[in-house]
Amino acid sequence: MSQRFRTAAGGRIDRARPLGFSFDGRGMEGFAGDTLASALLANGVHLVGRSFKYHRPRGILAAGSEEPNALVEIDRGAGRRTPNLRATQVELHDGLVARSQNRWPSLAFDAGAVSDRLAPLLPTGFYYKTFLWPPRAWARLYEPLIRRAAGLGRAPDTADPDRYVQCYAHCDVLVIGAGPAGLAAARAAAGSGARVIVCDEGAEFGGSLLAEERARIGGVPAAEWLRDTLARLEAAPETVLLARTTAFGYYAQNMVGLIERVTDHLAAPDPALPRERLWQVRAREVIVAAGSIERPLVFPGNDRPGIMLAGAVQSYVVRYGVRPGRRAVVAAEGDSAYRAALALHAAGVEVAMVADLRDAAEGALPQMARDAGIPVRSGATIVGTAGRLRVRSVTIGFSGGRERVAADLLCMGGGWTPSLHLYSQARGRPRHDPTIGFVPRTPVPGLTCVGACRGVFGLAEMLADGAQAGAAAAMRAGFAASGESWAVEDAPSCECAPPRAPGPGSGRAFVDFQNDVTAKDLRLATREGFRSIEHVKRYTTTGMATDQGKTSNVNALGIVAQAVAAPVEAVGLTTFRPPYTPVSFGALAGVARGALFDPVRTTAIHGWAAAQGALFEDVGAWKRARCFPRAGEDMHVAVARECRTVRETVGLFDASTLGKIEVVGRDAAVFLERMYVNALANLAPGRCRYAVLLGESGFVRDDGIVGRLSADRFHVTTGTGNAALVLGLMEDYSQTEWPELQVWLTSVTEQWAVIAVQGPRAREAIAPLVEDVDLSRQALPHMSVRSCQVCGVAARLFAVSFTGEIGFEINVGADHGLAVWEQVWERVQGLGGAVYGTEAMHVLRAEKGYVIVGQETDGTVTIDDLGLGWAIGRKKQDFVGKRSLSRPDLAAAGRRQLVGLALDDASRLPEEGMQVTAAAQDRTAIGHVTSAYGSGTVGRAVVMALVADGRARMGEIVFVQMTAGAMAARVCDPVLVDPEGARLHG
Amino acid sequence: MDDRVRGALDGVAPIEAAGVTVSVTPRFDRAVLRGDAAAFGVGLPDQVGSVAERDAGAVLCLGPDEWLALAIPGGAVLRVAGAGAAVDVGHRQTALDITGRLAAALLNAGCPLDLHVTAFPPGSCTRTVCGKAEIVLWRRAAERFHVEVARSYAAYLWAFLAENARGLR
Repeated sequence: MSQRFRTAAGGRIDRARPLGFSFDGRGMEGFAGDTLASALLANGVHLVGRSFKYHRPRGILAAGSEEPNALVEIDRGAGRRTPNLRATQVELHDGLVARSQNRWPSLAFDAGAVSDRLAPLLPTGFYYKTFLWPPRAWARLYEPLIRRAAGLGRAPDTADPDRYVQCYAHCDVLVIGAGPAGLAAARAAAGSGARVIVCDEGAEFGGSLLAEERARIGGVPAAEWLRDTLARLEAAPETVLLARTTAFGYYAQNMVGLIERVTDHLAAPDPALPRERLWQVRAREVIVAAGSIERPLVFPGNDRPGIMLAGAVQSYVVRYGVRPGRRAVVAAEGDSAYRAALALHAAGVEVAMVADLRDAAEGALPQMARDAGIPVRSGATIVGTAGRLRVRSVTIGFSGGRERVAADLLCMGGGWTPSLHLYSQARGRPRHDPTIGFVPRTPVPGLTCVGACRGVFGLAEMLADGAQAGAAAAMRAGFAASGESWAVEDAPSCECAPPRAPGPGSGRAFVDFQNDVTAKDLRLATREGFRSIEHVKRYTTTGMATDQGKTSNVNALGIVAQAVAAPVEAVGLTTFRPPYTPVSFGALAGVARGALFDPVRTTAIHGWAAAQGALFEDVGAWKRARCFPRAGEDMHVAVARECRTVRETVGLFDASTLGKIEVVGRDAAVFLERMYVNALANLAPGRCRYAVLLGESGFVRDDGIVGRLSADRFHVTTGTGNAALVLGLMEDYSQTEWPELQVWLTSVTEQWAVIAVQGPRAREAIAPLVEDVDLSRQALPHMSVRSCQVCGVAARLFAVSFTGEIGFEINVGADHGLAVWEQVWERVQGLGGAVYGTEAMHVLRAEKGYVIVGQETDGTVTIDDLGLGWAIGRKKQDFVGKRSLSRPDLAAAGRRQLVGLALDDASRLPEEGMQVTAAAQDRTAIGHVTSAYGSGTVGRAVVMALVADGRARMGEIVFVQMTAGAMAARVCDPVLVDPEGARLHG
Repeated sequence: MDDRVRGALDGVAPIEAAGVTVSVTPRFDRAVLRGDAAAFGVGLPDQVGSVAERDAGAVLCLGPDEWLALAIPGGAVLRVAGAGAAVDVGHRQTALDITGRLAAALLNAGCPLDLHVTAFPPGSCTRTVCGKAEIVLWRRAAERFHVEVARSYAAYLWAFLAENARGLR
């Protein structure tokens, strides 16, 4: 019969909605409201996985996110296979496909379990001690073997087809955890009108109230109080409730990362919905109501399937209507475990014994257990367990001897550890309370811990604590709030068990279930000299698994403290780090993948270029047309043709990405004079100047054209990749150094489409399109600018060249760019011209010896190194970087200077960055290649290089260290085409 | 040649999703105004982050000496008398109109600011980011935002908003 371990009635599951699912291929049934873990238990399945190191059979330990054992793979189809999900958090849906992990060939018979037999050979840190010899075997044999054996689960092997989104949110009060304390806080805060976000990692709000069957709050059953509270919160207009949402990280100034699992629990989710949503919440006040995690007991054989946390058992019985066994033993170190015993008893499970580890069991709950007829024995010790794939019996020691009790369920109640993860991430420093364990000590501004996570246990106390803190947080955020209070009945107080170190026993007592670390391993580490808890942690890997030691850290700490004979508070806690539970990479990436990975900037002419079959290259975020191959042409042929056309007739080029800054104001000329090395104050309106910008260090930062439009208005260009840097630099000087200047800077990079027309017939090409401007070389000489109309729209026409040919750059409003381009193209085409791309532009400028900042320069190149010293205004008192130019090392001999290199073999092309040496065999470079292109015009490679004392080496032979060996090259002038500039001014 | 004007997002159909609609606004003039408010022929708001609506247009105060004038006929706004600068940026940016109950939620997919109506009420403006694009944001009404984005980032922002509009909550 299906679900034979289901109780007859009760629980929060919907018995009218059965759901089919499979585990390791076996079909089973559960109910809506189940987790995978509760549904498996309802079907009598405890064995769900194999452990990491020893491949020991493991079962379900917990009922929440702290689960260390029950890690499963969920398969939602191609690309949607997710490993290492906690079965205790996976919500059941119809058709769910789950598989166990870390076993082969099957869960019940796992070949890897041989490592369990080899355990004596695999002590803690064995990988530091073995595999040392022979040395070469590490890479070839040991590492591949270990890599295959190690790791949990299978990584997905295809792209994730799901969507993930992110959002930012702000609120007055963020409540993390919707148990009794969190809900009381949320109720108080929401009632004040504050903006409240409440999140909880579970599918349902309520926390421990979901497994509460007895208590009454404010005169009504707890479940009814919960219903009423949720209804109020849902009705509060400024309150957002996020179920299935984990607060995984606390970041500076109350920025909290939340991960909302939107669709995993749905059998057929709406395809419009993202799988997960990552929230970045900025909260005025954060209330952490993270609850507490029950500690397992450390005794030999404590890891067999069927050995569970007592609180989890209570939850499975009460919330999910599941009987996790037929005959139970409850090992109690505090009163709370009795609640599990009572719940089991009420559900018809035989409770063979409550073995209380304390000397006496006197509280209200032990009495209730006795009254119910449950045998209670105090002064007990769990000596060991038996059973292979499921616990079969428990051996319990008493002062008078041992008793072996047959049981298929052993509940461990080792006390509760406050969840300090977020508090600790927020830089809170805990203190050690002898009765509770670690609790918050130092205040964190804007963050309040409430309820069990700060050591406040007991339903009435938690509600009061939450209500008070919620009201206080709302008031600090500026709202009038008051906390409610409720009378709580029938919630017997639990004597809290202080954490204590387990006694030494024989056999393996597991502390960290996920990383298979035993008490013995920890003691061994301390014997080997590890005393700091941080070192013990790293050496033994305790607490370093994907669960980050939620169930193990405090136990490990107790064992280490005992072993080194130090108080627990002196040993200290290890650091908690985000994420609280694993976060998928998809959620962290959000929509920033594929086309949205990074913005792709395109010009107004991009579509035209694409239609012409252009090949594009990335320049910063821009896409620039690299060349325009015609049918049958490869890039090499196309670039050669484009270059030839520009030299012989005319070429058309999209220079829109050029950075542009409009510098306006009465003092604009003074400002530019101070920024650039050049003399610019005397630049006449209508004229342009090539200008170089240095940093404070004296090194070249940028170059461009400064065009003066009128007395108080300049149009300045920068390199494509430098636009933001130059504007920022200029703003910095304008605002902080020279605030007295009346000058304002505006980026106009995107305002203007720039259509460059270059070549001997450039003037002829544009003449019919330009209105009211005399284009003759006398009226509009090289380095001039005019505001005019081109093709009937407002334009700024520059007579400038980056090719060495007659050149014009037509600036028109970007929205007009394409239309003007098309008209210019018609003219250029009519003259036999061509459109060219950035590759030809590079070749043409290199033939002419024009530098590109960022290519010829690397941040350590001076203006003199580039041979551009002539640009410096000699009479200028100052400009940015001037003082640095007199630094001895900037003026010293031996600096690398820009030269051309003529390679012996005209057919060879060096690569940029190749080293240059004085002799073929030299190992010390005297320079490096900065640019190298094949050039049809020159008939050999055009090579620019920075070479030590290069200008004094003209005619010398140096060697370029090519991949195939050294290649001789003659040092020459970098200007190879039209050194006199006759073509430029033609 | 107005019939041959091409905006960065010409021809795209509005993004219509549950609770939010995004559309491209018709073209209008823009200018950056810098300097003393008194230097300009148009009355300028003096509170940083505030907007003064002028007929069909608006002036956004983005800094103590910085304004963005939207849809104010160019002649008037570009006239400067005194310590100030006006620069035509009509083609530099593209504008989007985002309306609907989830308009703020859509922007918050990529904008880290608090866009609650009490924190960023109608008539507010600011320079901020959305995803990896810089934007200027002006809240025209509780459920209506005007977004200015640099021309070359418009396609990215559009795709970003379209992707995030799906399944918005």
